[in-house]
Amino acid sequence: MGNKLGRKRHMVDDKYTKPQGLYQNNDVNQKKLRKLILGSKLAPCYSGYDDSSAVHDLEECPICFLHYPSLNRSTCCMKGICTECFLQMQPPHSSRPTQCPFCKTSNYAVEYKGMKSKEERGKEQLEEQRVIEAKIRMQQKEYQEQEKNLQKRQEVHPSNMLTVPGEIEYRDPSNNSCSVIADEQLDQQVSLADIETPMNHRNYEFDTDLEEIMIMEAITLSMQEHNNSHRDSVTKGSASSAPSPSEDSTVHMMTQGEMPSTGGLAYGDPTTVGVNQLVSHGPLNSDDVSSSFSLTTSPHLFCFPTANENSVGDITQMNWIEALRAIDRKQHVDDDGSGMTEAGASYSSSGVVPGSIPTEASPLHVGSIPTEASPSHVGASIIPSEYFSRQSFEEQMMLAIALSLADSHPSQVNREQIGSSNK
Amino acid sequence: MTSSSSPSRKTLSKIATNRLQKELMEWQLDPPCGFTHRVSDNLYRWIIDVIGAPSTLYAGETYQLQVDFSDHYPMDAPQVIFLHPAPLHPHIYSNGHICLDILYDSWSPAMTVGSVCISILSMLSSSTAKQRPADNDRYVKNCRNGRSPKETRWWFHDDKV
Repeated sequence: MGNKLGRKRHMVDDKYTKPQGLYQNNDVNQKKLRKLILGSKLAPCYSGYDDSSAVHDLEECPICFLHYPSLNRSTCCMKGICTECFLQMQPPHSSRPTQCPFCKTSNYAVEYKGMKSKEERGKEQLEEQRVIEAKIRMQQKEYQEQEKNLQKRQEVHPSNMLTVPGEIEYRDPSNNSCSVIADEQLDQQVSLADIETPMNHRNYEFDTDLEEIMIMEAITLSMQEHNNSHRDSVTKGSASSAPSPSEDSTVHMMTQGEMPSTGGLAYGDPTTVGVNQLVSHGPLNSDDVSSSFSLTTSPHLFCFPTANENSVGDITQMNWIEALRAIDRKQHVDDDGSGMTEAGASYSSSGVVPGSIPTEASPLHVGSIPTEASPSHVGASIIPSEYFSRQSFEEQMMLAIALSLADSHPSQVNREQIGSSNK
Repeated sequence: MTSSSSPSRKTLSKIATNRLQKELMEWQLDPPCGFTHRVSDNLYRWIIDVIGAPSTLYAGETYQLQVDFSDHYPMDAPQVIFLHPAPLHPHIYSNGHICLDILYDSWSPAMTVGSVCISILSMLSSSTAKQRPADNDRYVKNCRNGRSPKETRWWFHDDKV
């Protein structure tokens, strides 16, 4: 019925059609459960592995932290959950509708789609990588704050103007921009649902995208080294090392980088580059950090969520996801004509969900869909992928250059300021 | 019905133990910034040092969180309190009880010790005044017999701080 991709109903061993005893209070209708598992509506109750290295391609259930060959997915936010944990989430005699443990959408429901596809796993890896990068940035920011405090104590002169926005941003736990984004996203969700995206195509493009990013990182690192050795002539030196960047595109990239300060949440490939710049600096001059930060990172990504707002487990990740989507949209608008499809469409179009998603779920659908929030280039089905990936690669290159320019400029200015104030 | 009788207390605590071990391992690899877990051999009680975030009212101050896990963790929320002296905060009572929805009604098993800690630090950071809740004395008096905050019926009225 709802099974796509011609997936056959494979027989599940009878012993996996009932709970393995992970939880004590298994007050479940065993017959019904068996039927659901045999009908591939729920993942089989395999016994979970303690660690993922035992067998290849296992997924970790975020509730019991055990590893399984396949998990169920929540219809609202696509988060995985093993069948036994899922059964715990839905107390059979409860009158209240169950909330999704991940995104708090009411009327929590799951679907089972078998093992994760290669592209889904790739997306997750990418997301994880970005979270790690975000963490690195946070550490850098902290380090920078410490440096700043030290500096303030040492010199009374308010020489560094750039420190001010950073501090305000850190304190501001604003959620306004998030809600705006959610609204916009909703509109987009609806419109994107109609666009069909062939599965294998996405798959291919995703791979190139990941590769691009890795190559970009390597290039940025080496560029950074180069820049460090030629600090004084950075402005012209690094610009000429670019693959013929046009004036326009450089400006375009700069605006993308600056978006956080004006528009709120923003994150994407551009910041990937930013991280490496920061990391490769080595012992950091705090001026350098603050200048590159004001360009590359969004203030809101560093603020903590307000405590009482029903925050779920991976709060930081959710922020990132929203941020990712923000940049998705930005690029969507910017490359006008090339970014026809967003990754978000892929799930809606894949056809597993039809009818099974309650309509109330869609508004909340928006705020926290981890698997859907993927790089912007995933979905473009119309443009030949080769062209598309090359273009985005160039864009990234230019961004790297723009950022390193921006990085070197303010820091030079700052040094002068400090120099004069010390006199 | 073969499986419903066999799972004993032992298997049940196995899932809590397993999760806590993994959370601790992850914490040690990558501790949430601003927090230190005090080494102990009791997996079911974590003592965590919380350092007030820079440029907040609690900057540089250190407080201690005590996190107790039941056998039903993670389906059951951990009990989280501040050890004496609890920070002065409009949602933190002088006996260390914290009025924070995710610790009670809004707990989700998808949350972790780390995410709870971050929420608490966020709550501290957004405070604009160092003061006790208005009903502090009354509440603390009611809790004299060592009542757990999880038995309190909390009323979450303020979503600003």
